[in-house]
Amino acid sequence: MDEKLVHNPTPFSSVFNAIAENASESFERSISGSFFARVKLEARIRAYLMNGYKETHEYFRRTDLPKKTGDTKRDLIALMEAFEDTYPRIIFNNLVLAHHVKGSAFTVDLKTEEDEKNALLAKVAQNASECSTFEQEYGHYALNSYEVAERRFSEYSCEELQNLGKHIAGIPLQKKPSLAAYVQDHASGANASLLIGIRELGKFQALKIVAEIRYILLEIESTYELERPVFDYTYNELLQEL
Amino acid sequence: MNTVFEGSFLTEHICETDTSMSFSKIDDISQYINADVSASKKRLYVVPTLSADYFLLFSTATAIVTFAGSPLSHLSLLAREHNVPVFLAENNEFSSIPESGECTLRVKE
Repeated sequence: MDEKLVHNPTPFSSVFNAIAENASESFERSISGSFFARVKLEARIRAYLMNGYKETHEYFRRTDLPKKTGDTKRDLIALMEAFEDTYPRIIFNNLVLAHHVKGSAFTVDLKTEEDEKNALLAKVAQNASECSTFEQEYGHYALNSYEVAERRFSEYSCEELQNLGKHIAGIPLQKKPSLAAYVQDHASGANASLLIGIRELGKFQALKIVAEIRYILLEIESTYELERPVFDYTYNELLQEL
Repeated sequence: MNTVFEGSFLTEHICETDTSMSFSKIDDISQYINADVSASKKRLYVVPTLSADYFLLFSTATAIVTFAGSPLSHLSLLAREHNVPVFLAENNEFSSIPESGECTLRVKE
């Protein structure tokens, strides 16, 4: 069974699986394509490992969400385009990671965004951090996070967050440098840890887009007279309704 | 009835194979969230994918069996750090697995 981006997606969220699959297939075509296509891809991977990863890191670090215009349809399209721009970068980073690692063992020597999120959630469960701090930093995450029908953590009550956090409060979380500190200390050439850190930063950014899409869909549901729940529309069907 | 999972470990840390073990199937992680963690006995969990959400199972997991994922999935990486074995089953479908029961892991030659 292939690992899909969204497990059991609603009709709307199937668009995220389609975007991820299209990006993967495009790289796979290069891998299994002509000799020249493979050489070109190999060169691109080498360049990414040497320097290109820095550009992707900066892109994920700096990119803001598209500015809202107030036109619901335009804003939804802009967000989807932002996701279509972001997610293939994550896929390519993953491809480089798989190529670089090639089955060899490695350790992750930095704290990814996922690690930081888990650490903060554990602190919330232990009353060592405020729920509002977690919501501010990671409120755009969710369980089955690319499923736009899933509530974001910012929609959880504090009690619900603490209930979630109690499951990881007892798990020892290792002390490691942040991605930003690691990037500064490793100026030349990407390694597995960096690529994984960048992947998770990409996910952090992609989920900001997904969260905003969710909020627009909820707004549409309350404003438009739809025949069925908003998440039961595919992306293209919904655009036709707007 | 014993469910046999045939496949391979995605982690260096492995668990017993060819031995009967209790398992619980977890699809929607939210079904697990309200469990009293302190009272939970450790067990093997069967999950459909290596979603990072299943990190929530680690405090009570002896091992994770999945049907999709790779050694580079984030949950595989976390499992390696926390010495939780992850087994990729190739001979079943998640939907056909019962909610709980006994199972045996068998490494495919």
